[in-house]
Amino acid sequence: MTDRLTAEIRSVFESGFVPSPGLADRVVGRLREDTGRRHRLPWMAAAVVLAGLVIIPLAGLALSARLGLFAGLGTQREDRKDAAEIQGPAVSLGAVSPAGPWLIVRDIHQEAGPPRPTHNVLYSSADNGRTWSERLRFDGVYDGMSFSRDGLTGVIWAIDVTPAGCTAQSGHSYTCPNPASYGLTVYATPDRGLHWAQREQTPWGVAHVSFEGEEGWVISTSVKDGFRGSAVYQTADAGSSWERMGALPAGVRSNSYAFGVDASPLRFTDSAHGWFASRQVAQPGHSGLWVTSDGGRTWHEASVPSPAGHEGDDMVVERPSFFNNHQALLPVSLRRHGGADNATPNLLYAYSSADGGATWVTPRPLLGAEAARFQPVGEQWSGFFLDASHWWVTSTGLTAGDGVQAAPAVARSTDGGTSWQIYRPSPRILVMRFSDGEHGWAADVSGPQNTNGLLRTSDGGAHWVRVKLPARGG
Amino acid sequence: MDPRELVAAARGGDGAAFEALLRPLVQPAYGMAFAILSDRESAEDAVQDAALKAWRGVRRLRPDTATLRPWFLAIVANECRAIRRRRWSSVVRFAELPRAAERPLEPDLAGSLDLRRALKRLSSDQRLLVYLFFVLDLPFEEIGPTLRISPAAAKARLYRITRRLRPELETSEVSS
Repeated sequence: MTDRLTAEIRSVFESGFVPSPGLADRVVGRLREDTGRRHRLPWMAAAVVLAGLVIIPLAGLALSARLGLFAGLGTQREDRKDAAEIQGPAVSLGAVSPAGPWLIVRDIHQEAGPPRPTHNVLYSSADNGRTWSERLRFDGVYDGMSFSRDGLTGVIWAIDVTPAGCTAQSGHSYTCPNPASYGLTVYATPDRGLHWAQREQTPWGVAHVSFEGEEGWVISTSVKDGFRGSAVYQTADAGSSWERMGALPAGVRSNSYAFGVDASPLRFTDSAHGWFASRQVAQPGHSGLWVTSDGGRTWHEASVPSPAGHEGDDMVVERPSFFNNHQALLPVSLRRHGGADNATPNLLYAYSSADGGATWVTPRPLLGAEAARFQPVGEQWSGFFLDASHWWVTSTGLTAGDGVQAAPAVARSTDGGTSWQIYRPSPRILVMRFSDGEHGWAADVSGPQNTNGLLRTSDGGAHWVRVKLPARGG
Repeated sequence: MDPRELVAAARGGDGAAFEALLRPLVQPAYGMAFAILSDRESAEDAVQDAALKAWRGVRRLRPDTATLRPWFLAIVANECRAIRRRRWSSVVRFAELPRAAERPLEPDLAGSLDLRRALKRLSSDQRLLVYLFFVLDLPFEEIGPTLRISPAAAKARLYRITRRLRPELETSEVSS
């Protein structure tokens, strides 16, 4: 073999090579950990089997209904035969603060045994996801996280969805005479997430939560009353105290129960102005988008007429996004009958507002001329609107077997929706967060078991690199 | 300790013996994984996961095994294939290559650029074969087991690949 060719080939391989100093030590260290872990395996296997509920944190109402968690009043029955659609642990992308990304790793899957509290660990990374530091352990279903703009103060919150007093029935079923409280527990940090203080669990159940810094709002629910009740509570001190502000009109509820995927239908822009997307299919004169301008004391329904040509389609109004005090975007999803399934929208539209969300006008396909090339592929579509220029949209399906998981894509606009780039194939992304026009993070699902993971991009979503998740401590 | 004795001890569950066998293989394995995946994190993951699998499977080695190298590299190659099979891997995998190729090159590097492009066009298994032979300098007796093919088949494949990389090479140059 010629020396010249060998030298050239070696040169090519070496030209882009990134060395990995210390890898042998890390590999051996992990082997030693694994050796120790294998000695503890029977105990750990039992712990894994016993740990975690729950599909509901990710999959929302549709899957919750499959699991029967909302069936009946006072008695909750869980059938685990359908519970293999998502495998734990689950990963939620909590926030991207100036300090870096925040990750919540949750035990959500339970092979056997009655429902038990879901255990969560909060991690942060200061080196682009290469290493993670554990910051907090907490129980309950992780629902959301928010930092102040400067990243100094923040909150994370969880909901107690674990029923009590469960007894085994035949097969894999359990009867639980005491329903979960759905009480809210807030943890607050005053120092960029280094320390967290736990607030007392609320005595009332919560359906939806929204925080802007230390100011937060809750739409409550009454579990014993069949998830009815829509009182609105407000806190100005990160959950230390709550004040009842008012209530949504009787009968107004949201279809959204997807925890941990940034799907809260509630959004406040300041102490007075808030929006609540019920996500019910709109009816003539009823958009399902409720608005308050007095901090939640009174609410009225916004006018959002169907886009021209789509009057006969099912329309669901989503949560609005605000770019500044005036400009805002209101996405709506439309479903023509005969789509891929009864949960997947066919088309996404966007309304705009120039008066801070008081009126919504000029509906247009969210992806403009590219709309035909980007069809939502599942019931979980996600938009991230960084500012008036930089927008991203993706969608995926969590419902295995419905034929809606093919060809996921990420759509990106850098000019406020005038033009779009479609990146396909993409990961099946649940939620994206970008810190600028190029750098972002995403939580995704992959594989037939919807295995949860974390990704990062440094080119606006064109390419994604899978991030190694932190190893769960014992 | 003689390599065969180390292998025998590792087969018996001796972690220190397995570490002694594994350590010198980690960097070559990482280099090979990087050549396939073009991404540091993915290549590290492949080596880490392969090491765990090797440790868990070392008892299944034949008693007369003299070296872990082809067996371990084969596991690493499999891990790389698994990573590449992920739906989005094809998007990620070449993320760095176009940028590298777009960098301004000196005129006398034009040949290298052609070679770089030719290597990029190879399948990952073909690139792996080239890496094992030219960079790791492995004999065909080890390349074959690493790729799960016979040494003769490895030699024949390398011949065909090399002709594509540099058609002007004489047959004798690649068959030695």
